[in-house]
Amino acid sequence: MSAYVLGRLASAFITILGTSFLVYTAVRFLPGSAVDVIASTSTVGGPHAKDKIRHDLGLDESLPVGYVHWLSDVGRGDFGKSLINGQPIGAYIKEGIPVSIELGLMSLFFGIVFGVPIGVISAVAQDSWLDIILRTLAILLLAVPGFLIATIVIVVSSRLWNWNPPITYIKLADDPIHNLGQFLLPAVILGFSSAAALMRFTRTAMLEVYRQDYVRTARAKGLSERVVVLRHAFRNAMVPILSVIGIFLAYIVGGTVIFEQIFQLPGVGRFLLSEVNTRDYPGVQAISLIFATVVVLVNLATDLSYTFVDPRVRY
Amino acid sequence: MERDDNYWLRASRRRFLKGAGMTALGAAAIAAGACGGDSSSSSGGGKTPSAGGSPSSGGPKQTIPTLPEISLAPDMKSIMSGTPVKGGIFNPVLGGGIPDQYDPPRDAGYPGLQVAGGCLSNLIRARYPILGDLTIEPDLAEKWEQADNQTVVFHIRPNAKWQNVAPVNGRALVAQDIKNAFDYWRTPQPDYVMAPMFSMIDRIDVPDATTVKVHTSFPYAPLILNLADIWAKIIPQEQFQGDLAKQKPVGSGPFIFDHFTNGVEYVLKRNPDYYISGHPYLDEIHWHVFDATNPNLAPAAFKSKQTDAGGAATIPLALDLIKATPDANWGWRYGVLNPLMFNNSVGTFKDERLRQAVMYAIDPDAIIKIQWQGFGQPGQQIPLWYKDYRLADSELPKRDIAKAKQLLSAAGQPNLKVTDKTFQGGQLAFGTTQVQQALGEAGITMNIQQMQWADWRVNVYGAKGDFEMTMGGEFDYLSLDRQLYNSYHSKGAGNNRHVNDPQLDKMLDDARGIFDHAKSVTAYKAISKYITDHAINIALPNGTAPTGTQPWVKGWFTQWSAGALLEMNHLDEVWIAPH
Repeated sequence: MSAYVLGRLASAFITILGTSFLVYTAVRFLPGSAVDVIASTSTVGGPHAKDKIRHDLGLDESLPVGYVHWLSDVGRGDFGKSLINGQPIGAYIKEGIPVSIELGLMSLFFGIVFGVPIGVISAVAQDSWLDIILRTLAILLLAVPGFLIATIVIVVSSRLWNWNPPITYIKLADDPIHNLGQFLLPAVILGFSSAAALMRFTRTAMLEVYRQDYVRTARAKGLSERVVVLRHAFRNAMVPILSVIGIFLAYIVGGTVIFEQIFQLPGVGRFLLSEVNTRDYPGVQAISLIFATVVVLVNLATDLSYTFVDPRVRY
Repeated sequence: MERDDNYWLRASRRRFLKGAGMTALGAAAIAAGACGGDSSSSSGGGKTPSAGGSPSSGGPKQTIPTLPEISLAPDMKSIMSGTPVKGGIFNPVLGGGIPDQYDPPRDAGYPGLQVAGGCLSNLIRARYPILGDLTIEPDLAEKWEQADNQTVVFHIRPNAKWQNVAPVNGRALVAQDIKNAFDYWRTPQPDYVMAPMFSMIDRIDVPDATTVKVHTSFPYAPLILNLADIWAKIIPQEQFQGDLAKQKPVGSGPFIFDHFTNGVEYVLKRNPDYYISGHPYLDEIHWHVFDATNPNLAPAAFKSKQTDAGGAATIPLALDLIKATPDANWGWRYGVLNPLMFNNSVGTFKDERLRQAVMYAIDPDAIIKIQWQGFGQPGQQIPLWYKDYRLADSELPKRDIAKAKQLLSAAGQPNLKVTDKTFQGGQLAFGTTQVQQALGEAGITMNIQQMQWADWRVNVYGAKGDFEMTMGGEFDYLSLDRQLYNSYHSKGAGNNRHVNDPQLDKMLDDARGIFDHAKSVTAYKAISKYITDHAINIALPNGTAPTGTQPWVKGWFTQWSAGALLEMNHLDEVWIAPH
């Protein structure tokens, strides 16, 4: 077990390191001169503006030296300063992380709450009208992008009821009702998108398990269908479902970028988009690295959680 | 004036964001004004006589504009009615995205200018309501005199104070602070965008704490208009170091910058020490940022009454919003200038006949109908809202394919091939497609070369001007000198068209020294006609855009020019009626 965990930790570390290298070097490989791009949009002025930008990006150093310097700064929690307004990137991240985490967790919650039970019901009622309806709904949700659903919801609610989700962000601790009122809609819609895929996957996993001998044995023992489904079938279907949930979290992390933008949520996703638009590369580098780290760590946690769900799994 | 290559880059960024960017979205929410004229040059305290003639305001409300007069005023009687009430929060939509920085003299972007507008003061301020007249009014200077053609004397309000926040902590604002601000504007660095506008200042005297005497090295009439520009904000010397002024707007304005939620909301609070008695009325202003790539969001917030002022980025959305908010006040204003630029000195379009051939081949009606969906107006070299300076329809070129072909043949280029350089997506903006089709009908093949946006902006649209022809929205300034001298004088800081015409240079030089309004109008109209007749630049049709406020927003409305942001100098006058 410990060897496996250490191995996975090492692999996660290498992945994050590789990502950080890619993130850092991307600036150097942008088409044209990244410095020109930034100089054309930033307000770093003066005759030595380009030199300053080059220095801020670490482009006046060799690639390995610059990378090591940047990485050591990041390791100390210093993500650098915005080329646009000179503010520390870390301050924005600190402000935005709780927002993104709240949206991500709420979305994951709704994704699981909707996706898993519906997948189970759909499997139990295989090929019934209910199954067909639920599968059709899932395919529909899979086919229509979440941002489009969000826009439609906003436009329709605005047109029909002159209603719009709150546009002013208030922290959860300051006003939980206002806060949840602002997060509910984006979290449900973002959750629905992942719920659809999760439902399909859960259904498939459940059907697979349903055909196993131990399920037939459980039924033969006279156990109630509820016990058969929940204790024998569902628990065994959980392992593949768990791994998919890990992947969905990565999807949700990406989704927050768009949803924070649509619903006026000041998370790191929205910050990332504004940084991309203004070509403020220190911010882009920082958020990209954070997103990548989150995805890697979540997948690691997912892998390690298998042992808790399925006692047969041993590392 | 010395050429400042980087100035153009800075200016073009603003212009592009508000011009090209917004026109590409169909917003075209920019219009602005300027004149090199007299209103500024005469004057004293109080209201300055208007540059124009006709009485202001009062257009029909809730009427969808129709050509030819597409710019309609809101119901100002209703907006100005009632007794101001203190308190309340004003929730306008912040146009143009997320503020990059807040230092106007150092080229704060469009969003930053709006936020800083309420926090920083001008020496004098301009007002130009939709369909109204330009007036120049006191701000920090309670009055001023044009002592002679080279001297203006400003009298600073004796009760003027800086805001009671660090680093100025409520100290008195005195004449020396104004002199310091002038020096700050004139810093010889590329990102100090006001420097070319004040480079003719010879010296500034401060005989006492409330008097500032500005001497210019030659008679320069547009000085007053340059001072009323949104960029001419008075910054305290404590903010001069490094990028301090960029990071937080600290000044003497009616509102104090309080806090922001990045990319979502920017909050200003009432300055209790503001120098105009009783102002501001509001307790707070909350600027809201919406995702510009999703044009449905801002209208939805306005419809749900969560925002108090805003508009819509496309004509269909705007019409829908106007219909859905029958109680709101709406006004329409012109978009940014929409030029087709030629390289006047190098290559094909050095030949005036070929420039004219393009001019006569273009079909403005097609651009208005298709690009602007019917809500556009034939363009001119001077912003359309500068109504005194408009050329008569008879003075504008009319489409004439035969004449275009004749000019092409005379120039020995009957099958002219040209390249329009644009950025990715630019071919869908400015009327590019309609220009391409119209030129084709005259036998001119127009190829469109798409470039990376930043590359286009720096190397094509910027001072380098590496193009044969290109299109892109052009910001309109309060000062025609800033507008025309910079773009068309051979020594202009923004002469990316590589214009080198001694006659035009002389006209522009002479116009700078004209203090009489009527003569100034004549001079600038002559310049506009000269540029048009010689096809130095083609003014393609302007789009228009609506701007609205909720019925409870009183005492204030957006001005005729969205680009000059004059309304940001009057936020102290906004009040919220009980509702």
